[in-house]
Amino acid sequence: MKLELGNININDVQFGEETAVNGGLLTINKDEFIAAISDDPNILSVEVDIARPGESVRLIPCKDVIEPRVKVDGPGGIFPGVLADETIVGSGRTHVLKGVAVVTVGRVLGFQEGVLDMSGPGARYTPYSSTINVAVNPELTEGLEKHHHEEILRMMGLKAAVYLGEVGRDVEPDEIVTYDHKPLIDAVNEYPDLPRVGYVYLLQSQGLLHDTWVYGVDAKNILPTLISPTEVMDGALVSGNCVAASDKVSTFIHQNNPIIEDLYREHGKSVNFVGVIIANENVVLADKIRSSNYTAELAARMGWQGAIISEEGYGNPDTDLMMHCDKLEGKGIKLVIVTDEYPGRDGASQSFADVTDNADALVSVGNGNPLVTLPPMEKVIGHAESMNTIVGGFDGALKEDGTMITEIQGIMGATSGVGITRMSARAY
Amino acid sequence: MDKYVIVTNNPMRKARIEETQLEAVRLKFVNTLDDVIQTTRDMIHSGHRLISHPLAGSVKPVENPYRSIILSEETGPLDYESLRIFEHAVSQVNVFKQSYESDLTRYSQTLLTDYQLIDVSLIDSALSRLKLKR
Repeated sequence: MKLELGNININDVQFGEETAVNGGLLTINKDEFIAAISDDPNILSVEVDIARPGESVRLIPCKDVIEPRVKVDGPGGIFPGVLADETIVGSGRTHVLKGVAVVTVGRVLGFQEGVLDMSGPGARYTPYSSTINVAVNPELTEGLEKHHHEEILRMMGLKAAVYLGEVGRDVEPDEIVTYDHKPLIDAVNEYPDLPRVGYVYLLQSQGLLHDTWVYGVDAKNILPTLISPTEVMDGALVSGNCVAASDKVSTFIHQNNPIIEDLYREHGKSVNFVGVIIANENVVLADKIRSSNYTAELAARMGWQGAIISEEGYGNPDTDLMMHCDKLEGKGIKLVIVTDEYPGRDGASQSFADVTDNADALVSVGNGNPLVTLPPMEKVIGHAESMNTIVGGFDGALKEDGTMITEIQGIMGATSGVGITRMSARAY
Repeated sequence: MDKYVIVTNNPMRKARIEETQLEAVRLKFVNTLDDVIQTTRDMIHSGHRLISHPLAGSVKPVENPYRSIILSEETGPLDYESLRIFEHAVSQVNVFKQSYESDLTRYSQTLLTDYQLIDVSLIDSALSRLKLKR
């Protein structure tokens, strides 16, 4: 399965007469854009804004972030099972509007989360301050059932990304990167002198605002399964996870998973990257036991010698991590864990909600607890008052002048469990 | 059929269980998050097994003042794995006591209802994975 990603570098985004890309400038016909993403009868109106890196702009509360892509050659379409049909994706060619992201903004529940500053100290913590963000903030029918509300917002973001991605269909990309995912027997034998390494990709799957979709299937109901990393790049994984701003894996991060990128980079040099297993993170302990058993079994059958595992979200997925760790190590597969930590504001408490002796190799992507002060921004897209009831915010977190005080966990993507973040921790 | 106990301080959870009348589920309603922890700990020491993870969901403990935990109704010898998972989870609850206001009078009713709903949804997702009969 070979996928060419054609990156079209976007340097600016403006509203204009037509939605098009010319010489790195993306113009958006606002009315057409809004019409394309507002087909649900519960959408009363949509505010669309552009937030550029370096601007004095705050987006809050953010839900998902999505990169605009379009399938230009090969089977299927972006977001299979959700916006495209169920055809298997991950081969052919996909064009990417590089440097642009759709950000969905809006309140689903009274408590909300996800602050994204485009400049200032907050911008340093988030990967999304480097993209030109097209923010969509809908007003929906009053009193909608919450699951329905979340779904409308999620679908709106995906539709927005597909609408924008479409303009890249006939544009010659600035760069083409090819990713190959070979049949198992070839992959295993490709570099016989290098360790066979795989990636265990845990997906949040627990209920309202805590879900992930695999080809449109609720991840709660999957057994661990193989997926081609190129399928992930074509949108086979969609985030419905709106909680824990800092460590949720947005759809954008699924599309650009840095562990997958790094494994490709090391493929043939230090490792033989043989595959990816996705597994869920359910609430019931029996599900965690079943999933970790199954992942370890799959990995062993494929002859993995080493693996990297990442988690999504906070708390109980630590148990998924540790169960996977025991079982993979139990089969002789060396495991490295990538995760964020919550050891308190001073970093002195226990970092995880579960531990095991086998967890002896861990990459930390940062502590979510320390407080940061975010100075006021000239423009706020969304609802600034959310900061008082944000995850990582607290009563009184919003000052009269617009200054916000939050724990790092309130900042979008700041401690993302797949390591797209800008933080880490070192032992001294 | 396996039977379960839900320890909760969530009034919406209580109402939903009473409405649905699941034969396999007994409710143990307590007042506070600390009571949920204490009651669950006592039950584990009495031989009940943890069925759902005590830290369901990514909304942080204490930030969400409501919590529901599913245990087995059946008891046996102390299940060390349940105890181990539970005690590690509780250490994280203590971390978040420094982050959040635990005075519920400072929360609006809408906010409290939303936190209740999140807890209900997480435990519903757990119940949907268990074999329950009406």
